[in-house]
Amino acid sequence: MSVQVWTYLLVGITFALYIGIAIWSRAGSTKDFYVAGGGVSPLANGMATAADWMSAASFISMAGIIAFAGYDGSVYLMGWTGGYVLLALLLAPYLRKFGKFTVPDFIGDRYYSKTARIVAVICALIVSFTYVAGQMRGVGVVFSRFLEVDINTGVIIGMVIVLFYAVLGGMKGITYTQVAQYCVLIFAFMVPAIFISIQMTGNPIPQLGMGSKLADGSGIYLLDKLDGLSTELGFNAYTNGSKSMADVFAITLALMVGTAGLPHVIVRFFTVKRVKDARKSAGLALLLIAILYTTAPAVSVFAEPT
Amino acid sequence: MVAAGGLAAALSTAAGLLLVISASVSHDLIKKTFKPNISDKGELRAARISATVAVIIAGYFGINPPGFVAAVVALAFGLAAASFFPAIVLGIFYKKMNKEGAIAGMITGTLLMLFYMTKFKFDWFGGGTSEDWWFGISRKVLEVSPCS
Amino acid sequence: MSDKQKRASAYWKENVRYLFILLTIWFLVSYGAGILFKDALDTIKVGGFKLGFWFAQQGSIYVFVILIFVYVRLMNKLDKKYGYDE
Repeated sequence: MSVQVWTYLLVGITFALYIGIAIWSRAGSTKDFYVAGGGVSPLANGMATAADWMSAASFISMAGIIAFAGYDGSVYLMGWTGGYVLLALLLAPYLRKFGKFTVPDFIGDRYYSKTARIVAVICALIVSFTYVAGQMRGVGVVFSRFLEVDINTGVIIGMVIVLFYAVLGGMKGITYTQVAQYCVLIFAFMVPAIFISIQMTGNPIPQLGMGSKLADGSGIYLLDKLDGLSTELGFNAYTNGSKSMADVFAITLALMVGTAGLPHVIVRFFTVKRVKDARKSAGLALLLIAILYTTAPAVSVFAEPT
Repeated sequence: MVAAGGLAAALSTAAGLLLVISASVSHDLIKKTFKPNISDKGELRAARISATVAVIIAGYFGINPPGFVAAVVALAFGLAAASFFPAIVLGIFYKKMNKEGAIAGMITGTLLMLFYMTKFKFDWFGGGTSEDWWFGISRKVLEVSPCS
Repeated sequence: MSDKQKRASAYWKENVRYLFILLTIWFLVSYGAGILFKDALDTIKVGGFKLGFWFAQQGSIYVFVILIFVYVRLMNKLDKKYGYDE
């Protein structure tokens, strides 16, 4: 069978899985629809949060951006993970304690104000629509690149699938499809990463391979070779970057605060049973995200010298 | 395999966001603001209808995108940082925080962000490089915090 | 102040103290080691990594994960100590 057929088959199986889960976990009440009935286990919520959080951009273009930007790419790595610390320590447990369904719900009740609630709704809509448009585009891009489908057709296929399980299952359907999606995406990311790490450095763990010597017997550290290559070509060393310190600092801060303020990530913490579980699932979510985020810079390094 | 992974990543995030949209509309607008005595069943139906509408609008933007993926995602981040984070954190940790402050903070944060975005992205107001633009994001975060 | 209120404010105080300590570490590893003092740390090499670069692309993320789990443990203990355990 050709690669094309395999890809179709794999994508088809995963889609069937998502739809199967959606039918199995139909929402029967508004509580089911908004917060999956409020009884999601910390591990399931951690996995769902990780999938929820890691967008098309994380998966498709992150390693590429870092390979291109070198040290400057660190802003994404630190920004997008460090925001979770803020989220776990400053937001998640307290919001769970408040016990609401949505972010505007919290804001409206905390400030006893309908105006505040409506302003928050508008903010949530603006944030979500800009973000979701990017994701739909991402679906279209994947379809057109790997499955030779027209980009717009790809977007429409994606719409139909999401429509099916979001409308039918609400948060309950979404939670369990996200758990499945986390498994699919981490597997799809790690297997090639491990292979390329072995190939380049002989070390099966990409995080360690990144700091190892090249496997071609030259005895040169991979990162040293990269620095040499980029300075030879007239660029800044790979491990130094070209942005000013103030820039790196500011961008990292903006990304961290942004991460902690994303409404679709915040609502995930309304789905667990206890405050305790909210804290724990934030930790698990970051752990599961870190698997991909510490591998990505290694993949970038492996991709560079070739 | 990469295709399946990329689709999983994109679909999971899209679904989460769509839920935020539909819940905000059905719960916060319809149930809590315009029609408080709506039944649970009616609210659920409203949630499903708004999810459907949201998917269609999102699909439209996906086909006619306002920018490429990364730029759009960066915009969403800036907006989230500017609007929600200060309002929520101060709501939790600062007892004297009041509604006027929260509302003003969210609005100025969002407007400033949109202003910077249009200024530097589309060059509507003239001037500015991408370096300044990034600074714009972070400066706005700082500006929002005291006023909320 | 009633006994219950006293307990609640003591709990809150300890909670905020934990947050302060953990967020200080959070700041030090990312903004400190990964950005502000990167150049100084880069003179130290561990294996193939320059230390500052390692903190920016790997180390800070590991520390973030550890921080959250430490927080989870501390808060669970605190909940028990003050009887807020659900």
